[in-house]
Amino acid sequence: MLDLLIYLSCGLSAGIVGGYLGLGGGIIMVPFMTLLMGLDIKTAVPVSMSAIVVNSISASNEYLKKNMVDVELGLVLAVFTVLGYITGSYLSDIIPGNYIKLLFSVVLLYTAFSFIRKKKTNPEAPQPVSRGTYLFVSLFVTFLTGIIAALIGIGGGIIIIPVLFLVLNLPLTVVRGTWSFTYGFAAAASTAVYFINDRIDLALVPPIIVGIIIGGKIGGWLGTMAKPRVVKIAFFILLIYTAFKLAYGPLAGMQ
Amino acid sequence: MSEMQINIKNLVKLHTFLWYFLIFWFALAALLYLLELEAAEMFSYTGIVLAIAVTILRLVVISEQFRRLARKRFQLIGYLLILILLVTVILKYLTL
Repeated sequence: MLDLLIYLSCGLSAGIVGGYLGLGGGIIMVPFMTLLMGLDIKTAVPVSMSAIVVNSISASNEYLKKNMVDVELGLVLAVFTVLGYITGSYLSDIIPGNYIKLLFSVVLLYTAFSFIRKKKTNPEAPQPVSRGTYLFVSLFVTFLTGIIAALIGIGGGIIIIPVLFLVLNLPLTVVRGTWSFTYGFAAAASTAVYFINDRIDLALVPPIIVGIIIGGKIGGWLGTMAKPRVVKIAFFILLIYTAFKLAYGPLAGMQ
Repeated sequence: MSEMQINIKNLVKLHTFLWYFLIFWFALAALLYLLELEAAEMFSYTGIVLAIAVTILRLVVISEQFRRLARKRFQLIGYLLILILLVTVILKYLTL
């Protein structure tokens, strides 16, 4: 009973944070399961991935209700993220991951400071680039970030949301809403692969999904009303945390 | 000329229905685990299959909305995504 409540609260907190920021919630669930519950990372990741599929339905509905989702952009993002993940997973056998992690941790630090310093985007202002150009740029950017995410083993949202906000100058609410709509498609492919390989712990899935489906709704609802400054600070903290987490492993290995 | 946008209300209705459906399904599975009944594993197993299936259903609904608006490019992107997902899964299954 206690375990059930603990996993339920894990899903709930991942749903609230993920829904609020437009992320899947893996950044909460995986450390929760590995550090607090003592689970192996190979058990935690597949369970978290299956919960992310459901969180996308829950959180994105709140953004859809407020018309904060660019469905067309979402479809393009999904296709090229999945293609990027597939390419990255093949490249991971060739490219040494540690150097990429170190290099990317520096890029993430730079992104964090650019993100917090960027002025608010006016949603009413005309887009600086044409629709076709921004779809083209976004497919290139997401393909590249998909590759990097697969190479260094982190979720796509923490990279893609700041990149789309900084490069394409899209309003932060639209970027978060669109990504919350999109990540479920990419996560579904991974979940299916884990499922075929019999890597999903079936007993852990129900309480986490019940938690995340409720948390995603609450987080998504809060996210539609969030002040950009608060979201920026939350992303700044997450980017710094991810940058140090990425750099820690390779640096510790060098000593 | 501005292009027609898809009907968001239909997507919201679909997501709302799926939200209730999935919460009911997994709450039932969690309850069965709590009662230590054998059916719990089957419910959890089927639930994961359903979660993947509803993701494909979302894509079909979006693609069909684009088809109705005669926006073939996005309709094709939607079906391309389904194809990529299925090919990824099938290839993984075949290489087991």
